Order: sequence, then structure tokens, then C-alpha cells
Amino acid sequence: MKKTDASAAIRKKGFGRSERTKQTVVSYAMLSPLIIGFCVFTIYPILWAARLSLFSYDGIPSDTFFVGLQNYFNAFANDSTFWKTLLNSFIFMAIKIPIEMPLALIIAVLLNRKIKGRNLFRAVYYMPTIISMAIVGLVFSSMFGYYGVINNALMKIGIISEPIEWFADKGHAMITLVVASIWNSIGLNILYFLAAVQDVPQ
Amino acid sequence: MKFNKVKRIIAAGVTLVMTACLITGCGADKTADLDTTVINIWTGDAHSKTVVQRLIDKFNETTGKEKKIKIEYTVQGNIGNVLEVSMNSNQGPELFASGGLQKYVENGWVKAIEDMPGGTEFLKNYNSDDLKSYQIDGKTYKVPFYVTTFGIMYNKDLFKEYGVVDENGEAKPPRTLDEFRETAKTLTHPDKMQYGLIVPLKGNDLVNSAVVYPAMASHGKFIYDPVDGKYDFSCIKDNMECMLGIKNDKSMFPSAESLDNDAARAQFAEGNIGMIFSGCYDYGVMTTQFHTDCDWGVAQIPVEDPSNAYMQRMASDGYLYINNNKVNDSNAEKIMEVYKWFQSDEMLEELYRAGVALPYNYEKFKDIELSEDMTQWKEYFDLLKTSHVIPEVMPFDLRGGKSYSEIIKQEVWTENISVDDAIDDLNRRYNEGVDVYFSNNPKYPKDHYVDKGWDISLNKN
Repeated sequence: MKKTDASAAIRKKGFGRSERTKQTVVSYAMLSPLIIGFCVFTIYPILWAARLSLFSYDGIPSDTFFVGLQNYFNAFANDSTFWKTLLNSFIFMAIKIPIEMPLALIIAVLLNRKIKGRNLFRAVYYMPTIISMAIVGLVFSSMFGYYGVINNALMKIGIISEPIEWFADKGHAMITLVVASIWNSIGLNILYFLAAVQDVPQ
Repeated sequence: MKFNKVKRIIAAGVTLVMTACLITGCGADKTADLDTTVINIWTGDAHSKTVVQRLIDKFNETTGKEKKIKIEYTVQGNIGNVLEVSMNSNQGPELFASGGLQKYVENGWVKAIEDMPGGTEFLKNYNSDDLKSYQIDGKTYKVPFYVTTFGIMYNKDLFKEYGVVDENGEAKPPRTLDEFRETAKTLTHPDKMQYGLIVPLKGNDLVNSAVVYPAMASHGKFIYDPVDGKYDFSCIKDNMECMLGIKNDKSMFPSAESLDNDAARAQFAEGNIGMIFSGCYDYGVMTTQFHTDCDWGVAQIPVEDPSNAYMQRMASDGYLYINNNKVNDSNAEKIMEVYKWFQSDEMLEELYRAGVALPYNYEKFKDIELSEDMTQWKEYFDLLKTSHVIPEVMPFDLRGGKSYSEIIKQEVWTENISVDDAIDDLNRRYNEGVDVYFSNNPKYPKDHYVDKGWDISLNKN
């Protein structure tokens, strides 16, 4: 009965199709800046770049001519850097994720407990996430420099007898990248896990 | 209720402040009167901004007021990209400094100097040979202004400390590649964090500054031989082997893979480094940006055989372009007036004296006396006598294959392949790349890139 009364009231007040249309229009109007921005700054450049990928292009009009799929062929067949980059990305992912995810979960579980300074710890773990990657890169390349703090600390502890050139070979460089990346992004993963863990009933 | 009132007052206050800021941003220059033509100049030369702005302020107060011209000067970071965006949207300044001659001409963004009032007369001040690099289809779009010379910065204190001196006890910079390697070894004392050489490996310094361009001084050509129109990377062998030798002697500052140019120069400024490849732009860096803790000098690039040496590389890129979209009948003369003033010998002399620009013409400016504390600046200028621009190279299409820069950094420097194998590979692929380019869409015939008269032997001069 109440539902019928309510429907009648709605019809009486004119909340019919025209009102729904009005609400739809208003909703899209509010979304339009975002949609327009997305189309202009994301979709259009993608389409522009996709079209240009079929041309030989160096910015000079007389040097620009259609080459079809030759650029893709060059990238896949001739450019070993492309495949090396892809491989390095997979290696990076294969090392980073198995370390970061479990670590984030463990820390999230610990931070979910009632410990003193819990909020402070949460803030401290999250802070690296808001630092730009460029700054993180600068800081870590300085720390892992030949005369940086990492080498000094490792030598003082006695783990190494002479400094390591962290960026001189692939293995050491990968370690540095993984450490920096985990430090920068673990805060966000802790946050996600914390939100999930807090939903688990006691 | 009271709190709501306070919130409303705060909100109103914030709105007023933000509106005021917006209006300020939209404010027009109230100091320029309607008859004055404002000429905007954009460059990317942060190092000379203070000096140039002082000269422009003086112009605006004197000649500018008389001729109803006001110059507004802006130094843009990343000027190439900024200009491209502004040109594509038909905006941009009246005059600007950038590279990319072919692109700007073909897009119709720049105006030929001959097509400006008094332009043809103005060009008579220059040798026709000096203008060739700035001409397309017989029209001139830029004129030479300043150059960049390159050499070795060396730490005189470190040289004297370890006995690398001449008969008068003065620091003796190396002249041959063997001396260069030996000197680097002598100056290296890791226990004191002292190293003979530093090369920032983050950018392309190893490839260009240490190997490829210096090869021109030893062999008279730059990976490309303009006499026979072929790529020939054999000229880099001596320099590459020298650099590998220095690396294996451990005479190079370690962990240079993470060093960029500024970090390397900062190390040199600390007084721990014996030598670093440098350009004349480093003068300003070492005298104003970093506090240099050592007495330093500038020397020629070391060569394989000094008795059979050639001119070393210098860079010369002209200076200002005239924006075609901004020139009209009412302002053409005034734009040309500013152009002539900015490109004048008087302006160049001021910049030279201030230590921010080296004039392109050695003979014209050699007698200018600089202040006594500008020894190194004079040394960079004197390098002009033994310097030459690199030849225009034959275009190529590597079809996605690795460039010489990638091969040298990733394969040769890491000793994955030998120098000889790299040279063979590069010669083959680059010369094949020339054929690929010319089979597709050549702009000019091959002859355009051949110069049978190319001869930069020092003995010739």
C-alpha cells in the first residue's frame, strides 16, 4: 500500500519520465568536463599517435611519408632494445611482487593491532607513496653511489670489504631498482590490505 | 549559528583573495603606451639571462624609448617543445632562438632575413660561407652569433701535487691519448677519493664528448667522411680504446653510471678530479654555480699524433629566428631593428666580456681584453683557432636497429663486443641505412652531403 501511495505521490509531483530525463541530462552535464577532458587529453592523443605510427616522422614535413606497419616491424624484428626492456620489466615484476605483497600484508596485520603509536606508524609507512618517483630516483642513486651511505654501512658492518658499484651491472642495478620501488609503493599496498583486514570479523 | 557565520565570512574572504589573484594574472602592462611596439624574444639561455636582461633594460630606456620599441625577454625551459606548441597555435614571440631550421622553414614558421626590410643589406656583414649552414633554397634564416668550443678542464693543483708539470713547474695537460691515459693513472689515488678522470655516463657524454667528437681532432672526420660520402667509424677506435684503458686502469671515478653532468662537474669543483671533458658553457658553471676549490685550466682535446692533428669540434647554431606569423607591415621594421641590435657585434662583445657567449669570429674579437680573472674563458676562446664545425652528415634509416650511441654505451663500454666488431657492424648498418633512406624519400641528392674539399688539418693552417 505504501509503495502504491509513494508511486502515486511521485506521479502527482511530476517525477515521471521528463524528470528522469532531466536528471540524466544534469548528471551528464556534471560528468561532461571529465568526459571532454578524457577525450581531448587521452583519446585524441592516442588516435593521433596511432595514425602517426604508420608514418616515418621526424617533425619535418618533407621527411614525413607513409610506411604502413614498417615501424611495428622494426620495433619487433630489429630493435633488440624493445625486447630487452620487456624482459627487464618482467624480471623486475617477478622480483618485486613476491617481496612487496607478503611484506605489505604482514605490516598491515601488525598495524591492525592495538599498539601504541599505531597511527604514527601508518602515516610513516604511507609517506613514501606521496613522494614523486623522480625524487626517489635521485635519493636512491645517491644512497647507492660508490661513496654512498649503503656501501659505507655495509663496509662498517663487515658484509663487504670494498664498495660495490651498484649501477655497473644488471644484477646490482636491479636490486637497487627493486628496493627503491618497494620503498616507494609499499605504503599504498599496506593501506589496501589494512582496509581489507579491518573488514575481517574479530 | 555563530560558527556558520564565521564559516561564511572565511569563505567570502577566500573567494575575494582568489578573485584578486586571478585578476592580477590578467592584468595588462600599463607601462607600455599604445604607440610602443612590444617585441617578444624567447631563448633557452638561462646562463646569460642576467646579462642579456640588463642590456635589454638599457635598450628599452634609451633606443627603445626613442623608436617606440619595447623588448620583453623570456628564458624558457625546454624551449623546443614550448615553441612547437606556440607555433602550432599561431602564437609565440616575434624572435626566438632554437634549433630545427628545416622543420621551422617547411612549416612556414620562420621568415627569411632577405624578406625583411633592410635584411639583404644586413646580410652583407657576413661571409657567404658562414651563412651556408643557415640557408635553405637560397634564403637565409639565421646568422652566426656565438659558438661553443670544447676541451679538457684540468685540475692544476692535482697536476702539481703529483708532478705532472712542465719545466717551469706549471701543470702540463696531456696532448696525446697515451699521455691522457698515463696522466689519469698518475692522478688516481682512491684512498684519497682522487681520480684522474670523471665521465658522467648517465647521458651521452661518454659517446659524444669522450669518443666520437674527439676523434675528429685525431682523424679529421666525424664518423662520417664528407669527402667520399660514407660512414666510417674506424676513426673512433683510438679514443674508444683509450677510454676503455682508463676504465680498466680504474683511473675513472667509479659508479659513473649514476652520474649526470652536474654531479660530475660538482665532483670536479670539489678538487678531487684531475680531468673532465668540457664545453665553454662550463665556465659559467665553475665560476658562478659551483664554488670551485681548485685552480683549473682548459686544454685542447688529446689526439693520437700531434704532428698530424686536425681541428677539433665546435658547435655553432646561429641565434635568432624571425617568427613569420608575427611579422606584418606595421611592425616589420621594428622587428628588424631589434633583430639587428640583438645580433650586433656590440651585443656579442658585451656577452663575451661577461663570460656567457663566445663570438663566432675569432679575428674580430681576439684583441678584446678581458679581466684578469677570466683566464679560463680566454682559453675557451683561443680553442676557436683550432676548432671547426662538424660536417653535415648523410641521412640514414637504421630501421629500428641500434644507433652508434647505444652500441658504444651498451655493448662496447660493457665489453660485450670488441671495438673492431662494433666498428664493422656500425659501418655496415649505417651505410646500408643510407641506401634505405635514399630509396624512400630523399630530400636532397647524395651530392648535397659530399664535400670533396673537406680538409681540417692543423698543418694546413
